[in-house]
Amino acid sequence: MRSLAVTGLVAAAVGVCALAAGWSVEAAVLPSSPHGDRAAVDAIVVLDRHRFAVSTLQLEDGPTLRGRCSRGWFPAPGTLLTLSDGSRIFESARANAAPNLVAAAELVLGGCSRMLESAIARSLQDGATVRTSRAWVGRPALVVSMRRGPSVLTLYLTPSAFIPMGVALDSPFVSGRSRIRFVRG
Amino acid sequence: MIDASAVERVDPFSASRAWGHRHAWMLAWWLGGRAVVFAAAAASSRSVGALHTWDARWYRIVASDGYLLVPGRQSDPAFFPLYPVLLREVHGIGIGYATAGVAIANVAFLVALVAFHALTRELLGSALARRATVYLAIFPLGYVFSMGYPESVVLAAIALAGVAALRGRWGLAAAAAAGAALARPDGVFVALPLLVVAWQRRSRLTPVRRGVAFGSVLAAVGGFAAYPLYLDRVLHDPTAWSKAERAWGRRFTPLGAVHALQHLPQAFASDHWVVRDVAATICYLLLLAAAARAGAPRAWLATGATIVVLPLFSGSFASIGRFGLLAPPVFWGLAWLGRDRKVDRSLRVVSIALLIAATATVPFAFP
Repeated sequence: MRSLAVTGLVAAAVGVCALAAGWSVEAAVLPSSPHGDRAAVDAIVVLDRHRFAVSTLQLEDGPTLRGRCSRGWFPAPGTLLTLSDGSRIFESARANAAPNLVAAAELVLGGCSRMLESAIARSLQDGATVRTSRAWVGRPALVVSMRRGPSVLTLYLTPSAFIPMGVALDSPFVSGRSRIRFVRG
Repeated sequence: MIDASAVERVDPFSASRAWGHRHAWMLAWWLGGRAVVFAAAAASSRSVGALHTWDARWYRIVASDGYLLVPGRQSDPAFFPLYPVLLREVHGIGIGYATAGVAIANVAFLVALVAFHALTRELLGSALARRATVYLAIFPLGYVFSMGYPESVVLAAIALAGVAALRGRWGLAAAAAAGAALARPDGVFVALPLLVVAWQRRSRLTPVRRGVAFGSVLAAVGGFAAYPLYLDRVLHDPTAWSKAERAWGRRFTPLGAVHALQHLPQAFASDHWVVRDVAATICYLLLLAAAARAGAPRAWLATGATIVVLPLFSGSFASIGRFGLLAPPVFWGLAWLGRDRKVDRSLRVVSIALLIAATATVPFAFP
């Protein structure tokens, strides 16, 4: 009986040692993901919870427009961005074809959650260089800037909850900036 | 008086020289096989950079930036940590990630060949061990052992754990088993043959050594569990691995294998390369049956079958060709088929030809 207990205790100790050693090696050697990457992921989580956004956006040197973006059925499932100049941009959830560059940029700047989530995720997956800084946009903001080649996607997030408050896009094809506010629909 | 002949017998230099002479053929097959892979990779993509593509990129991201779960998207928690740990350590001495990744994989493959040969010789005799080791060195899908992937590290750890257990070196068996499970989830299945060896030898061991023997089984489980525990620390989500796997299209369900078969036509329509994995799965199962005929221990056969069949329950055939490389009985089955001299020669020639062809596909299809 005693030998059985010794065997069991030693076996358990070896198992726990393996667990502790494995964990320690990971913790000691692998780096933590950069703060900016984690903030961007948290922004994706926040976006996933929101279906409606109001925004003011400006594309290139064009006029400043007000936008309302919602996710739902119109009557097909997708995202609809309505701009104050009367234009409407619909992005079907089922379509495989991506919208044209300008429309895609307007959807991202308009705070349309699905498109903005995709843009952030794509940047992270493609190994974008992520930098963070602080800024004042009427209130304190955490600025997360993601550079992929010549394109930069910049998010302005609330510093603690990482709720997107604004977006800036800068690429050789299209540029723009916006302020976003998520609302309950 | 000191007996001069006794001193010579324990001389470590002459012992290691003799070991080197006995194993030189293995080094030659390793060099030859890897030269074929490097040459084919260079010829197909004009550089050996192809060996650091596909998942190798994700392992590099883990090594350089740590884990990050991107909700609903393909992200790096799908990749186990031991290989990125090694990658970061080697990178730390001033070697680029791509070079470090390929170097680790190839050196680990040499270790895997030596350990695999020792394991096979213990279980099935010298002649079969030699053939099996040669086939492993030039196996058609074995180009993966030269890529920035953890497969060679895992195979080395699995074989080391097995041979250490058979030789009663249970501490080493525990360390190798933990390492295998920390490098790839399939590594945990080495626990089964370790359990059987520990059980068979239980009456010959002292209570403490018996504890270490059974502890080596738990070490595999401990190594595996260390990863979700670490994910809980860095991502506050111990299930991040399975969430990331889902984004890669893998979700384990009891009917996953049925779904994999049902969805085969659609899978083929979207990616013709799935044929390669289906063919590999069938080949592996046949080779496991051949290994059974060769007298391979049932625990190892069960481990091999689990490594080959379990991924099917994720609903996909994708990459089973690569996963099956971690099943030692597959090569034992091949060696049993090659017991006739003519068949042996044919298998070697066909393997090398297929290895060249398979390596040339790296720029077009992930393994």
